[in-house]
Amino acid sequence: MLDVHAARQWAQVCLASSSADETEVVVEGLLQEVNRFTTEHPVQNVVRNDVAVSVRARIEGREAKAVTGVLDESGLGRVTERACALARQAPRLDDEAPALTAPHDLEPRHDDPLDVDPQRTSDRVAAMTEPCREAGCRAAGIHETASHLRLVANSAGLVVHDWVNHGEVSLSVFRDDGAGWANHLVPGAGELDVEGVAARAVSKALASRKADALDPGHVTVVLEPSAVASLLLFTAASGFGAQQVQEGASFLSGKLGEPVLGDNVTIVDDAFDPRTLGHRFDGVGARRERVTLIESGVARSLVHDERTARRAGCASTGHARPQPAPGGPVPSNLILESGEGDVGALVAGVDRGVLVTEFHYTNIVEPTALTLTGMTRYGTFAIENGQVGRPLRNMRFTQSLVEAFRNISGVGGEALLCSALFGGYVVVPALRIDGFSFSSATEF
Amino acid sequence: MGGFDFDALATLGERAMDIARREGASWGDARLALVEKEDLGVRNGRVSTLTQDERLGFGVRVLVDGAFGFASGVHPDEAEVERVTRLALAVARAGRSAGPGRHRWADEPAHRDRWTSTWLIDPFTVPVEKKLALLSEAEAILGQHAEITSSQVGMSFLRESQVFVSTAGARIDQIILRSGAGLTCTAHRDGETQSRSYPAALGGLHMASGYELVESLDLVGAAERTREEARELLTAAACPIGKHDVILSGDQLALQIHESVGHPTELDRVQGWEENFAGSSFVDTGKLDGDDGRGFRYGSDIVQLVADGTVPGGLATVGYDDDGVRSQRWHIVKDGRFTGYLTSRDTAHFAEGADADATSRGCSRAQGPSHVPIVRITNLSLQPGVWAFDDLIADTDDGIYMDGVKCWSIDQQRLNFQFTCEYGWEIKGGKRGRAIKNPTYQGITPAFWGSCDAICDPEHWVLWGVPNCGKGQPMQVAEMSHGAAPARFRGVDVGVRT
Repeated sequence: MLDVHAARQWAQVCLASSSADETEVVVEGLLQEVNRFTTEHPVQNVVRNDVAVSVRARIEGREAKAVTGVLDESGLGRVTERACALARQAPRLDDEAPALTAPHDLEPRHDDPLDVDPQRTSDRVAAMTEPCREAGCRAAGIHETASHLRLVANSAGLVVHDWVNHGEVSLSVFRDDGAGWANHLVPGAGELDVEGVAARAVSKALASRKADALDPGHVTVVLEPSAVASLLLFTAASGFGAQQVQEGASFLSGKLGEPVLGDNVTIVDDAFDPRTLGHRFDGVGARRERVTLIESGVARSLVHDERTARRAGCASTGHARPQPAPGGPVPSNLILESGEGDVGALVAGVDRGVLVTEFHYTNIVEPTALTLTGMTRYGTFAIENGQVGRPLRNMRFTQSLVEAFRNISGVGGEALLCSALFGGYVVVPALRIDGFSFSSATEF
Repeated sequence: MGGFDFDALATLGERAMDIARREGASWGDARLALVEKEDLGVRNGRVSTLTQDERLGFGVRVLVDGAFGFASGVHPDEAEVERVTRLALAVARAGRSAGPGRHRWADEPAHRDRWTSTWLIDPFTVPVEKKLALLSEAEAILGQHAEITSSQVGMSFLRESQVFVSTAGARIDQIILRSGAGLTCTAHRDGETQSRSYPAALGGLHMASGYELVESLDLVGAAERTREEARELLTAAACPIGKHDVILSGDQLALQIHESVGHPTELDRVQGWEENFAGSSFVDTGKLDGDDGRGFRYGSDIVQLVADGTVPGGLATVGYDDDGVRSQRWHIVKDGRFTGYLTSRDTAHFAEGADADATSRGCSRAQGPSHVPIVRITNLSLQPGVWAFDDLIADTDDGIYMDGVKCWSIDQQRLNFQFTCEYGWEIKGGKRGRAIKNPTYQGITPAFWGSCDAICDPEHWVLWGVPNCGKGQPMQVAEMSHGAAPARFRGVDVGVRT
């Protein structure tokens, strides 16, 4: 079974047997329990236990990495030998090659992994499916708890570890042509609101039956936090990382210090905010610093690793991915600062608009304007005279995130931890955005 | 790379099956596998990736009173295999209370066999220095201009050695070898940024092949053209907006097949099992008959889409899937009509008209032993037509040719899609015109396939690979191939009004 004591021992075996000039060991482990279900079937009930030990060896300026899942002494010795042998075949690194991370102390985000308890999980699933059946609805959902271990140790004396735990329930509910979705995602061992999720999803499914079509065009939208998350997550991969900016592939290229978004937009990356869900140190063991990326609409800073920081003449902010990482540094604890009022208050300020529960399959059309496209789903409603009104069929948006975030006319008061189809976690409030572009419609 | 002792691991798997039988499981299987990978990359003049990866793991799945339980581990010794098997049993028993339905499990002979994919040159035996030298030479040409802000060349190799055993007495040993390589660069000038890839985006071309695939691609020879096309896009015209005829390249068509035919015909999606994540499907089981009893009209008469788990070189080509079902070849769309689904042993009986003896099509695969098998797209290809490519261009009066995957998005029932490609050019009066950046097209799946009126001949047909298909919760990545030749679609909505 996965535990920190064992991970430390694996790292020490690798470090002790390494013949490299410099050696870094990263242990990544996962303990995950997922029930995937419909109202008819328990679809997939799984408990996964996965561990990988990677050894990065540097010999006379040459570097390579080997990874193993074979955790006995012979497997760990073999992976270390393999990393060293591979490094000897590599060309010399350029002079930007970063030094190993120096030792430092860090409190882990969570102390221990979450318990695995199949019967408790199954009971919670039943607590979600029963209200759906009682309402004459069918449903599909998940219940997940997961604990991620990362330990980084190196020949410079660094040993840091972190558990990152979370739980999530997520439910899609259907009745006739109506669909509704709700979820609850909590860091650590927080209580999951299974009854609340079921009630919200059922309510939306019942309310969204007999949907009308709306012609594509520009309209004011109120985006619930999950919909906001599927937009903001793309700034992590294609916006705030210093490498993309340095290579002209980001909307922030050449814009540092300038107003780029609306003055009601402040975005930070903060691994020490308890609402976030990323490791507190980066892929090479460096402490993650809090970085203010956008302050009242002005581009302030980027996230860096050692390599991009050296190029920019600044210090690393502790955002390296596990090396090697051709894609450069990324933020992994993004927070869009909240404003005031709930979703109802945002809706109240709209004469004619659209309320969006969730976006589906969002992707990047063009990176420098961050033009995104995706579909609404599982609860799209017209807003008429400040009230949520008739249900709408789903629509496709094609919209520059930069333009959209210049046209925010309301920021919700509660920022929630959310994820999206392609993964990642952000803390975001609901938003009201004027002139949002829907480009086509679908048939349901 | 370490060895793999099939017999020793099969013995451990049999131990798990003994426990499952004793504890009342009506079905049990165990997969024990060694997955070896090598990734090499050169980016902006330096070696950016040089990694070898070797993972040994196992997964045990049991069916108890109609509910499945699955558990996985990483250190397959006798004690750990017993612990994980008992955990899978506990998960199954606990899951029984979550819903009234019981899983059914289609029959299949208990195969005892050994199967390997085919290759000429084992990539793990090719010296690392030789691979890096090839990548460095190609990257030096690719990045040879001040407007190129990033240039990246890479290759990757994977060998999966797996033993499968079941409570029914199956024992299947398989070795699968996959290779891939490609290059991509990004050009930047005056606020415009454009990328171009070869031979395909998202890491290049991947196949079930050895190092001979890399040698066949001529990465060095393609680097200059790729770089110049990226630069050409910096001053290319914007994509027009309106209805135009579109000719899609084979690699873009592969993605179109994947998203608008592959995923919607996965029978687990049709059943709603994926509905809380990637969505469901418009291809409900009534569409096997369609309105006229001849099958739903999915495309024009010339559209023939064939699923094939046996095609040489296919990323999804296996001897047996992870349910222990032998690979097969069958039509998904024949003469434009929908004819069949992608199925597994626990979904086969859902197809309308299926009787109690419904058998699986062998589409159940997992991302390695630590994941549970789910229905995955197998190799799914558009059969070639009769057109020479130059003749197709000459026959097109007002169109746009689109090449290279850039952006893809499709609704949760797989109807409304919008795709953007890397590189396009106008076709005017049957001749190639100016370059177009961000060429974009959109449509509704059956209407789009219904507008297909010409497909290029076998000379232009390539088995394109998709190495990064995400599905399931927890998310699993799977590989599959889609063969396609360039094809023309009439009156397509091109461009997008924002």
